[in-house]
Amino acid sequence: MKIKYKLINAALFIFILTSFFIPSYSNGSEPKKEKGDTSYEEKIFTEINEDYSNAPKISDPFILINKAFFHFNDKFYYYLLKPAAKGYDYIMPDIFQKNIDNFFNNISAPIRLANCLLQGKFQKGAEEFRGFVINSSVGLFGFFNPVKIKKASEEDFGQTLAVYGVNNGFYLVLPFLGPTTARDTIGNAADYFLHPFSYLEDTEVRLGIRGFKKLNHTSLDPEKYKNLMKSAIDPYELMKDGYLQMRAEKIKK
Amino acid sequence: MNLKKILYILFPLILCFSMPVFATQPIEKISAEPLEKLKQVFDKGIEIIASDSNSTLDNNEVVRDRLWEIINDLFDFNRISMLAVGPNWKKFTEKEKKDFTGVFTEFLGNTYLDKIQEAYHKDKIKYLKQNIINEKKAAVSTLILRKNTQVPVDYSMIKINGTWKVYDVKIEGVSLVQNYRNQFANILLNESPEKLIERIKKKILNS
Repeated sequence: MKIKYKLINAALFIFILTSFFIPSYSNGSEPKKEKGDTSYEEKIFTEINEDYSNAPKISDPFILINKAFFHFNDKFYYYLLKPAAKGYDYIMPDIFQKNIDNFFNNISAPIRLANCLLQGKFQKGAEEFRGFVINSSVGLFGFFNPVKIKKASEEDFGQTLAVYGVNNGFYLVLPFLGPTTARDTIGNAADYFLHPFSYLEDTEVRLGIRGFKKLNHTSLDPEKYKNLMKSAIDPYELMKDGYLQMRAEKIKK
Repeated sequence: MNLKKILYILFPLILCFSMPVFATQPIEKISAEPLEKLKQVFDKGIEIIASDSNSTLDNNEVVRDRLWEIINDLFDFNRISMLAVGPNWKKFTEKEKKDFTGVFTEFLGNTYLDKIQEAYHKDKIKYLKQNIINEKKAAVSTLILRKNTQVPVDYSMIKINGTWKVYDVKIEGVSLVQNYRNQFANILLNESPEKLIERIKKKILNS
């Protein structure tokens, strides 16, 4: 009889103990849900707000020249590049546009590969190497890309410099080339030497190829820039911040 | 003695049965998963546009109103407005806060709806994954599949009063809130909040 009692008592003790815990989880938050939750939500929101405040800023000492080039590029797009790209898009079969874009992407693989290695991203470098070999051979000089390289993770020397701790420096807008920074301009110059087309002797041919590459790439989505500008309240600032954010994303990957 | 015994047995039993009641709570959480919510709203939006044969016309007010309704339910425009203005928000008067939220919401809505109505029959949305950062914060990754390109679009979401709401959209890694925050901060350096509101109004009229 006594043992039974003890057993029942023990069981009761355990149940009471658990009953204290279980309801306290849900019941504790249930009546206070409205109030407790809103203040918690506000706290989260304040944190989010602070995250945005910590975004990096960049100096823009050449703002007047930059703005002039920005307007130049803007007019260049509306009066020349967009109409040309639309005309080109009209006469060119979609598949060719895509293939030509593939070709240009594949031929700049040595740049990406070198920068993967410089940043110690060996696995990614191996992927680039594999892609280059397969796309150049099976993919017929890169016109077809059996191995796809993600655009968001393409490496360049500007990113390599960033990995080694070099800051953006100041903001720059270059004619035709658009937004960049001091660091990325140096990066582009370095990458230039790794690009096979840089060793073509004829300057006109070289520029022609670059122009064609840009035209073909724009033709993939001729309205992209226009749509972007539609969403701008201050177009110059939109481009500046957009470029910086995009670069910061790429450096992270 | 007998009564006590019965009580000893009955009491734990009652406790046992009462537990499933508490356990029902998490079910609500599962039904409101961020990716699911996003997909539901977009599917509904596509359905609304597709059901109307004249939907490609820009001035189709009925379709737009219906779309607007569901978009408004998904996006937390009040918070987006506050985040987009950032630290300057404190300098806005109550009226300016209200006016700004109104015009900025209309502006975002217009640009967004234009894009949706223009692109829905060409583009496809691929839902990639959801990343639950904590019980109140999540990010959903999607991919817009276009004719020749793919555009990654990520949605930052916050759980408000039990439902997931979008507070930022990242297109190709570029946060819209961050971008507008920069634009507005720059404008507010030299101009009053009223002027900024005026600017957005003008942009709505011109587009």
